[in-house]
Amino acid sequence: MFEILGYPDKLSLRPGERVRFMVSCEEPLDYKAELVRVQCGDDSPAGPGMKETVVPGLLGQTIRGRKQVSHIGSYMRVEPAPALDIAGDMTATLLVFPTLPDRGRQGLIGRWSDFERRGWTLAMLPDGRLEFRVGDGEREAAVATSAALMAREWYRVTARHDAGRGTLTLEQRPLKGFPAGATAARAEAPSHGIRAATADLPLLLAAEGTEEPAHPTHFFNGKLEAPRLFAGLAEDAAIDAIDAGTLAAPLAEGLAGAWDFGAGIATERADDRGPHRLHGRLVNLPTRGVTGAHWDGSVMSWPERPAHYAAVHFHEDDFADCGWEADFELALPADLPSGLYAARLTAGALAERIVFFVNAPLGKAGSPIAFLGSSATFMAYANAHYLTDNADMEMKGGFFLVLNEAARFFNERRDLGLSTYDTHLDGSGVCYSSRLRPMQSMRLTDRIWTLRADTHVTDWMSARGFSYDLVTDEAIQYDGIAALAPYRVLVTGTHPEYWTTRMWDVLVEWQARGGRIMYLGGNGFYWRTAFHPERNSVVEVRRAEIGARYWVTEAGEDYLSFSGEHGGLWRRLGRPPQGLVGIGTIATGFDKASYYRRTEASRDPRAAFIFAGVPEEIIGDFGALGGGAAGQEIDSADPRLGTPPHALVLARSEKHSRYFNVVPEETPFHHPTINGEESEHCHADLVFYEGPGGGAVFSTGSINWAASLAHGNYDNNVSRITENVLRRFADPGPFRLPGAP
Amino acid sequence: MYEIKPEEARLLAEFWERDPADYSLEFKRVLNRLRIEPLAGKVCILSYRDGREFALGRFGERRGDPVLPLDARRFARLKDAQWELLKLRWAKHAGHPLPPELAAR
Repeated sequence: MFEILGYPDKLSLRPGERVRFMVSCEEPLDYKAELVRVQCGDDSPAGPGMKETVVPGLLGQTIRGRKQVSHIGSYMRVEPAPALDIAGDMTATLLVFPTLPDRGRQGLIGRWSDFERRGWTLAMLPDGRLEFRVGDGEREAAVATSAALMAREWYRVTARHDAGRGTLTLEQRPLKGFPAGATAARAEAPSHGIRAATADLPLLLAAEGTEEPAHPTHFFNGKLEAPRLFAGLAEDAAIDAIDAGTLAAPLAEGLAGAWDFGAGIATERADDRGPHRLHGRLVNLPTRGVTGAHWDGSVMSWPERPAHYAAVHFHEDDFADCGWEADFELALPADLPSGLYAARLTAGALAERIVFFVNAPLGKAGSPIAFLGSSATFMAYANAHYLTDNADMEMKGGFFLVLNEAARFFNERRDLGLSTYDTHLDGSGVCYSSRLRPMQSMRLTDRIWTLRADTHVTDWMSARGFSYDLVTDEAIQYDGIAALAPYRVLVTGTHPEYWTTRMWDVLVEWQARGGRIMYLGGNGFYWRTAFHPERNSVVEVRRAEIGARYWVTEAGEDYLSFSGEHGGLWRRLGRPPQGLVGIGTIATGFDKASYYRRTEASRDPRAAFIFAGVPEEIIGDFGALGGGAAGQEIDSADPRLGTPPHALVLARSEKHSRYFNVVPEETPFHHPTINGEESEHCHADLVFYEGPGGGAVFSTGSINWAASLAHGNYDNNVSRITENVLRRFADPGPFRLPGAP
Repeated sequence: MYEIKPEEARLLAEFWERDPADYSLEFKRVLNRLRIEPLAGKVCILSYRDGREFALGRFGERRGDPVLPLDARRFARLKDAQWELLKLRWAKHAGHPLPPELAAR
């Protein structure tokens, strides 16, 4: 099932652009590549079925596939330079905050070839002690401390090679006396006249070199700060002075490199403040904007005082890019209709689809209707491992754990990276997620979630005769209002959860111009997100303050490193989603779905168009997910949070189960009645209101809504309501605010 | 922490007699207790072919270890797999005998 995997180099495209496809096959095989337009990806027993159309004349070739590998684990790399070739006395010093000191050998800093056994390396031994080793390719000398470093404590670590005396010394000094004081250690050993042979070796931080210099190993888990390298023997007092920024001139002359992680926090650069400007590159996205050794709680944001955030948190499971070579590429024809497409790869019974989005040419709408491709959300989910990594999932779900083939596959393939729903091996949260890899969230043959669930909407629109363009949130991010301006109505998928400030601002601007939103999902517009400033392939999320989440940011680390903004819930940032779409997250629950009951407001003449042909009182007591249209993650109206006073709550869900729970931001303290059976607040609201500029909003407040659209061959009240709204929203006639002339 | 009592074995009959939404609070409490266990060695349900077939599987000891089939049994219905797992969890966490009519199912 997973013999063929792949990803595109771009997710969001326009006609005329080129896209390359990176493919890996577990065993060498010939596969056929075809371009298909996707209508529906749900071929589960209860779903509408897989519906896709081959686009003739494009691709169609047979390609010999081969296995490609990816390399995870973050580190800093500085290319070889003469200033780093220190044959005599040398000092290497840095601040170390280990998080898994008993996790095998872990490199701290060095220029070392494990294969050739030459160079020098300062590393943590499998038992948490430190070792400083030099080698010339034939002989080696080493010194090790006698005490293991304590997890989650800062240490000043210094290694010296006194070539004149022929000694290696190594010191670990905890910055706090208690409880780590007992782990201070100093050791000395003869170097036997060995000089470190470092020629052509890169300087690595947080890893050690192997016989394959491009892919080091022995990754460090924890934070490192202020690595310094001297040609000479730096005294303790001088090293202390480095931290105070008062480095004495004679030592400064011997300074080979002084990397400052408090600079360029939004980037992958490691600035060298030393005289040679040997800037390093941070590989595989270690976490930046994290508290350093000098953070004292007096500031909570890195932009305010970067010196308190001059550390980098490295992890052996950090990931940025599979880096596979492209097997084939595709030039999108200028007249290719906008929509959801995939490169379908088949070999006998094997099939895999590499999905991507094609927006319309900028400024040229093919329809007044745009469907949102929630690429930021798909990236945030990517390869989420909560089912296999979190022991509480059965409690949360209210059922015994069921793992499908994909969950089991991605559980084993950690080389394909984690997601912002995961924690690293050391328990710290995963802030970054890259799309340059096969992503489970973009697979069409998997659980009904994210993209696959969204195809219930595209399927329904096609089945009901609506033509639509596709607009990605990435296009909104980078093209701004021009991405949305041609459209009259934006239809979301089931779970547009992750939004950047820019995307949010553009949506508000478009609404002010009369844009109409059909929010057909739940838990949308929830977490502030940021794209990497230099690559659109990576997003960042900080699980700050509060919210429904699987991990919590460390103290002082609430600010996004990519943007310098405070992360967390949009609700906590003064922009509750109720102000954007009338509703916001209220509860989650995954055991069974429910239905909506119409309210008196549904009889309001303003809502007559919505309920034309809908005589029922109960809405959506059916569906492919949980048997109801109100389920999984649900939203409700709240005037205190910005639901407009004239908004009509047309229907409200009821009878949710005990395994639904009101989200933490709604429950300042815990009590036993926050569940779906007993809480008065646990319900999804179906909302309509008129907006500025002749616009309007229709929101369903449930991830499950879309999974009910196809019920009864699309002939049901969820489908009729949605169709009534979409036909009216696509009509140019303006909506008028109540009371307006 | 709540401990399952021997007389609560009778509650397991609800698994077959009621819709999950209608389980008694007492049975839900039993189920909650049976779900509290670490991941290492955990037995769960494996699904195949988009939920068209099921089996029981066991977690490995470490994160990322394969979750392998527990045995050769395959189930066409999720409900049957859930029942087999429920019996395993009951034996592990409750330790009390099931009524003969339930043990035989």
